[in-house]
Amino acid sequence: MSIMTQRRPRKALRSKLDFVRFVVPALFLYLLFFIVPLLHTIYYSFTDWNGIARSRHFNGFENYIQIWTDKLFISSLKFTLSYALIYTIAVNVAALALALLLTRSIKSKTALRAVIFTPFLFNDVTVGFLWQFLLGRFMTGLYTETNLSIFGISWLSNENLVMYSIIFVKMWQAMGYFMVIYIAGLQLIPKEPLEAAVIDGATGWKQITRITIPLLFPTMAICVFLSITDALHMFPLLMTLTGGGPGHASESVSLYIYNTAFNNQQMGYASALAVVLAFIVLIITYFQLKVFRSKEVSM
Amino acid sequence: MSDTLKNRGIEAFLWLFVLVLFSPLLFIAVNSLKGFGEVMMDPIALPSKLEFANYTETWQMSEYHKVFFNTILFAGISTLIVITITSMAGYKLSRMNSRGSQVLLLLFTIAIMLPFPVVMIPIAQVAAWLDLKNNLLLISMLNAGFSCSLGVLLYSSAVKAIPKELDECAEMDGCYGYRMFFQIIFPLLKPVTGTLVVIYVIRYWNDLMLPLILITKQSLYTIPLSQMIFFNQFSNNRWNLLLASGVMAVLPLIILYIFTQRYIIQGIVAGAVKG
Repeated sequence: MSIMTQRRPRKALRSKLDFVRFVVPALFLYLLFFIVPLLHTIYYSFTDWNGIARSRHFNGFENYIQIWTDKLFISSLKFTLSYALIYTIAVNVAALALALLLTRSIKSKTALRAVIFTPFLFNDVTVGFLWQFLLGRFMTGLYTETNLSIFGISWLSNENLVMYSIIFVKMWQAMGYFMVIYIAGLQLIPKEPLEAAVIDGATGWKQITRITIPLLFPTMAICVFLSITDALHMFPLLMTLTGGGPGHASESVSLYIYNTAFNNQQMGYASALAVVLAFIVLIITYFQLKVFRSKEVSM
Repeated sequence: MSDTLKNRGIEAFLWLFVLVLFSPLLFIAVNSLKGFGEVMMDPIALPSKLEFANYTETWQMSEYHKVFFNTILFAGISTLIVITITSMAGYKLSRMNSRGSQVLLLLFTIAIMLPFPVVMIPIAQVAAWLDLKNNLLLISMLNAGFSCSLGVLLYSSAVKAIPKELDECAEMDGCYGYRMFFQIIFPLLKPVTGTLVVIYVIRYWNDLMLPLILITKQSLYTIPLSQMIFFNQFSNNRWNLLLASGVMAVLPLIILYIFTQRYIIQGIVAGAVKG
């Protein structure tokens, strides 16, 4: 008995010590380098700080009121949301199609998968300027040589086309990534439902839309989630691909925040923009999780 | 019979697709070997004379050997730190299994959802206060803390599969704390560790934003940052050098990928599905 009572406090002490030794290193760095900055952003968003001056004045909700009349913000928000929507649909359709083709019995499928995946490893900055060259000067060169009108289009300097060009470049880079996730998902699907369907006379397209895709729903949820999040966060690619141009036609919210903070030195206002962006992202994430959860239960 | 024929057709189509998709890289490589005038005037022709000088000049100007080494250092140290701290934290939080540990796990997930600009401005501030600008070791530490969410989550869910009795047995044999964790538990977590190493190394290797904000000394530039600076300097005039630098940035990855592609793809898929 007395041994037990002696051991217990020692054990409690050790579990406290273990918490400090195991959890605190990560927790400390995370708090210091993520949570503290996050709280500061919220604090700065209520000030008129310019990043250099020592003094900053508390100006209440002024920044937040200004946002709703800021034409550049509204246009960057429109760009980001429509980009996210179209990109998500396009990249998922393309990746799923590739995955379906590459799970058939094709001899060189491993090589094909590996090659299509490759651009995902390249950094955004390089991908951005290489494609700026290809869609700009190189296209012009092709046009003078061949006179085909498709090469004469100014893919990056036309306000109406620039978003689609960016979607194309981003798809070029990330399609293989979603493809390998879809392939993994397809391999997890049990074979029996498909075999049963074949016996019942379901053919190609029907097999895919009625059996494979519903069974693939969890994987799809992951890919849609990842592509939307990625689209809402995007901007290093834009810095070298379009620089946000022509004019402000391809300025995403993140890029606009960066420019406001580091080129115009409006740290207070940029912080308010960042808080608004965070809210938008959280709301979209929340609805996504809700939609996918409810669909999964019903299956 | 018709099925194999169909598959052959699909195979041919896919290779054609790949060819169209990747021919641009070939054009880039060709143009990177041309003189400046030729790139500008006639970007689709073959080079009249191979200009390897583009590469030597780019190498010297960007101090590529240093940049390459810095990137290895930055990605390597960050990964080492993030794996160490997140495996320990994930393990303990999973074992505690209390209200408090669940709240902490939730706290750790916040960073996954929020975009970088949300913390961009103060991170530059915090770095200035702590005097860690232009110090690769300290920036790596910041980087690890800033991006530890995924690691903590994956480790904490993987630890659940390891029976608690194992910890208790080890403790009875007098093996506690760090020694117990690193000798007995950590080796069992190898699959998750592999996944996370792949994901983190790729992410850190390609990260632009943290270096852009925190590194101002040229001798400490990483590859993406150096590419950015080079682009700003030369995008108006010297595309031949810019293209050469682009090739130099992606080539090491392609070479590495050729040898490790199976692990990389496995790691990426596992990370996406579990995360």
